Amino acid sequence: MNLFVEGFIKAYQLIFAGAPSVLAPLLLTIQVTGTAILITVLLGLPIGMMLGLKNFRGKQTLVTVVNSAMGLPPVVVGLFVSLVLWRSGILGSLGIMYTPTAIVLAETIISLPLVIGLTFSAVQGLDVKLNWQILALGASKFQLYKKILFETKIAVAAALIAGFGSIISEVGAAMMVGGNIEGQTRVLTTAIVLETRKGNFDVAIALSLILLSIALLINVLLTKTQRQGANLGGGRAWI
Amino acid sequence: MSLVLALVLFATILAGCNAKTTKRESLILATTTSLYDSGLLSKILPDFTKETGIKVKTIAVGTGEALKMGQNGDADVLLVHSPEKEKEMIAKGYIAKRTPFMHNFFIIVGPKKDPAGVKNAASAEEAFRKISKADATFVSRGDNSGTNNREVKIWENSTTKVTGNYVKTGQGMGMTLQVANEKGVYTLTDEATFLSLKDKIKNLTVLLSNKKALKNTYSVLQLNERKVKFKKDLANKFQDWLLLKKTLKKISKFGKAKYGKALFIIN
Repeated sequence: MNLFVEGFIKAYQLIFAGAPSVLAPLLLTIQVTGTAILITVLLGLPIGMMLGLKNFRGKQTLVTVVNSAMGLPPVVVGLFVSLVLWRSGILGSLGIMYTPTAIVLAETIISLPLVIGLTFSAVQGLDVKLNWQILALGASKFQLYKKILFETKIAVAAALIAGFGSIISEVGAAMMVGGNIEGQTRVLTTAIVLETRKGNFDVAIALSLILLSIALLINVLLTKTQRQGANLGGGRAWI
Repeated sequence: MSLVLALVLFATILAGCNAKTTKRESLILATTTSLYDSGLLSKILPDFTKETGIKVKTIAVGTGEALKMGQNGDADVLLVHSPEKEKEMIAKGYIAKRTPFMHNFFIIVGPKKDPAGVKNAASAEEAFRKISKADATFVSRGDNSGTNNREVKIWENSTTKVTGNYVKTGQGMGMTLQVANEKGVYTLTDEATFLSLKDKIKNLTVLLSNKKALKNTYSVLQLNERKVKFKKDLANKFQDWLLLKKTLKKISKFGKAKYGKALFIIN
């Protein structure tokens, strides 16, 4: 019990003092997770929507692949990305191993299937007659997609929350492809592992509190957007 | 509200991008977790970067992985402490030069009660024999690290079966010590890690510190350019700097103030 109390006290001291051992991982986590989720959204939303709207040969296989990929263990992604990015690997000459770019790459791979899969199921769930109606009213393809995104706002927001949650909390891939290098690739999760390993439980708790706060903050904001979407969508009931 | 969030997010990402574009020469140093966790590298490496402008990416893994990284050219220079495995690598042609430069000692730690009577052992091998005889629990790193290699060697030399209660953590020295501390059992550790964690592992006490035989030697390894593709110039600059008198002097002072005893002794 003493450890907890000591930890919390030290945590407050560190946070308010702006200690670099705590601020640097915080900043990097935001940058890396933010970039990864941005790429995931730009790629995942269109792909998920197209999967949901179009029918083509091999669609069922692709859907199965995406669904399976949602359960990809992050540490496995880390290992495979390492094998590719190591100097001895195919893309070794790029020299991005042990850089934040490598972490962004791994995290994008982890969150992409989630966003694609959940967007796909959201769009798939729409009544196809709605699409016909929109098209019948003279909408272009682009306008159709915009409208569908609007209709599925709640579910898409849920996809983003899931995608974001999967990467801000993951440690295996970030550790492997980033190397947990001080001041370069040390994010909140890998910093927590290191400080715990060194027995600096107070610092580890401080980092954990910060991580939890960020996750909470982002999710509160995303959930708020989700609610706004519900209200704008013609007063659809908030269940 | 979400617009504000998006703007803040963009700002931070942009800030990150700017930082990434400043290109500096960098080299990858593969080292062991026990050396890294002692804090020595965090203390001395900034000097190297200041003097040469070369960034050092320190990857702390087990000796086994570090040696493998060297073999594959995924690291430019190695700092390890497993003499036998290092000599194997030299024989295979991957290492051009091995320079042992500092050492400390392995010690056997365990519960004050000491049910196996390790305190009275004359050597590490005898201590292990006693632990095996008493069927006492022994925690091993089990991760092919320098410390693990030495531990396995002692078991071999003790010509006794490993104790019935043998626990493998597969983790670094710090974690392994914490596990041993929680369970109140025996383990082999390097003195530096033990000292740096002393107040957190109050359940454990030093039971055997037989100086000569448990010497723990750290070496810097230079890869062989004929077999491995790596950043030779940067690696040489690093090795030259590491072996400078002033760097070694700084290393020899490390830990004195905090632990009352230097964690590493220069050869």
